[in-house]
Amino acid sequence: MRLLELNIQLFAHKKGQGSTKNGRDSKPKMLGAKAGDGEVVSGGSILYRQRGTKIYPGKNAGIGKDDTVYAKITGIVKFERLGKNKKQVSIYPESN
Amino acid sequence: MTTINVKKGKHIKEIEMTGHANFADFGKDIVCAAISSIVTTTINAIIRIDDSSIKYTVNDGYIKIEILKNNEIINILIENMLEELKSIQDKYKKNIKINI
Repeated sequence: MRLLELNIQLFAHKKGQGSTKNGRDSKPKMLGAKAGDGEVVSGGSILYRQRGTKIYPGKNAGIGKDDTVYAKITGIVKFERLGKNKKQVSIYPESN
Repeated sequence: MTTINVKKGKHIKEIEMTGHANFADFGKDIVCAAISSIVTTTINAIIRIDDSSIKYTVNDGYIKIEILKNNEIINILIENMLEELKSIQDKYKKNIKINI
């Protein structure tokens, strides 16, 4: 019999692999701007997906019940300031 | 808890140790360290005297020692090991139990 190698933790239980209580996430909602400033969009196009009103509907723009801002007419997208610290998005008809 | 079962005839024939001491996490379990050190020292001492006098089996949290030959020195070493383990048992009853 060969000599026994000294393992002073032979009778110690191995630290179990810790489990995490995290690791869950919801599906991405793809929020944010759907049309850029200066872009030409058709009436009914979605301009901005959001939760709450980060961006307010400006001229010729409407807001849905889920706060989605959309274009009411065909035209050019303009992101503008609204008051001191708010923003809005408006649609201006293309001047032919 | 580490359980130590001793099979005895006229002399001690077999000693089987199973289970983790569970005194502390891996790397900090002093009871496990003491048990392992005492047992390994005894096994190696006997092997150095006569390497055909015992047979051992080792796994994680498990040691079995079979005494194949008895002589005065080997018996003293085994008895000494058991006495040492008993003194650990006296202080760490929740972590080691000897059945003779």
